[in-house]
Amino acid sequence: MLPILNIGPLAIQAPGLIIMIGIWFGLTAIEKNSAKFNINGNTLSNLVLWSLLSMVLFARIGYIAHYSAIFAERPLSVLSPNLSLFDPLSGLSLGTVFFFVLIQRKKLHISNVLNAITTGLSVFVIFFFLSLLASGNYYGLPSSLPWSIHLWGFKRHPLQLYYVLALVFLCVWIFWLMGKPQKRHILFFEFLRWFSVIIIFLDFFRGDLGMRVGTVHVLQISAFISLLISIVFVKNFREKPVIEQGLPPSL
Amino acid sequence: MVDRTNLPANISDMPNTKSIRLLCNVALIIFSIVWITFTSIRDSKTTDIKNVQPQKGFLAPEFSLKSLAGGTIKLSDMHGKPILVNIWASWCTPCQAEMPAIQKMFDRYGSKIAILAVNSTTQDSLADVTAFVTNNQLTFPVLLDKDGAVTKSYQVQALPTTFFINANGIIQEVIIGGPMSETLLEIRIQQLLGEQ
Repeated sequence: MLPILNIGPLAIQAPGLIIMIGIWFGLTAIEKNSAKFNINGNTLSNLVLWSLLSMVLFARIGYIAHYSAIFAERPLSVLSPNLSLFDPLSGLSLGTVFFFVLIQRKKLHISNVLNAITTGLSVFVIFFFLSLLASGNYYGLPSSLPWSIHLWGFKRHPLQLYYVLALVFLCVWIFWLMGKPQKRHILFFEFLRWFSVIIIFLDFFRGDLGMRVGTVHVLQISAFISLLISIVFVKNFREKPVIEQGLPPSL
Repeated sequence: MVDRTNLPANISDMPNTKSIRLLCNVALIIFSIVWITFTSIRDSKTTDIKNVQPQKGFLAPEFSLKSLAGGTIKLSDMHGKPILVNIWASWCTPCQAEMPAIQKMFDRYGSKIAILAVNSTTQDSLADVTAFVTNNQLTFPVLLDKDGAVTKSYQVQALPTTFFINANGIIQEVIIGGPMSETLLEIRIQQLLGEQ
């Protein structure tokens, strides 16, 4: 666990830094592979960047909407750079909607774009779980196994590392599929399927409370729904491969 | 010669491969349902033991410190109402910047929550602390961590670090760095009060 990197007088938030590195590597992977889907690399990276920015914006708007009375007292605080004033759920959901609107506006094929960003996504999630290791969040259950790590008063399952390991394998699998032209049209849902399975399996080892309905983990249920969706779509796309499109104009 | 006109174009379209895929998908779904149920049953049998750690979801580490105004304050004496523990030093610029906001929150919510500003005195001087508190007219309790025990037990890696603790003594949020705005403080305090 290393939440803060102290470099001279600077105290850098290590989880944030790791996420930024993950975004950079993810975008690089997306740009490199975009040509395989006949999509301009710049168009695709701009699309992803704008969507990420919209997620930040919507996360702030969602937060303001939730605490509008307090923000009304101090209107300038809507511009506060404080990272605690964000609602991740609003950001993720509305940012995803914005992403699909952008795809539609640019007349790109949704499944082609989803498949083209999958390599980047598979790289990014590895860094995301590394950032959780740095912050010490999403920690594992107490354990006496030899590879347990000492965290928050106990020797625990290194849950974040389990995720990193599983996601490295998934990333290799996705890059391998990317090299197979006849498999590229199912890339995104193949990723979603195995990512969902990883979450369902590894969430068992979770030590923090997280979101629960009774004793049921909300994350596992969400992953199960994603698994069902991905199975349906993979089957659908296997039967009806999408037609590749020409190069669209840049954003 | 073999007549290939009725053969599938791709090996992946062969009926046998399709059956294997279907079987794999059914197995994945069954495994997921069983595993989710298993997780849920395991959690229902697990007793929730609250450990003491300076992290969200854990009991806040206990401390007993001398106050700048005189007297000793124990964290456990404050249980029953939410507590804001702000660990700071007078030379730290973000700490200086957020103190007026903390004072405003103390003026507004002082009767409902406890605000404790723990000065990391091992990295500060008593004269500077006194001057800072006087100049900024801070009226909330300022505690002196002279031996660094609280800074250590709360695993403080950067100043300021703020812990929002609920009425049961469980940490609800840790904010590393600053300055915290009045808006952020008020939202977090209202969340703590809303829990009660």
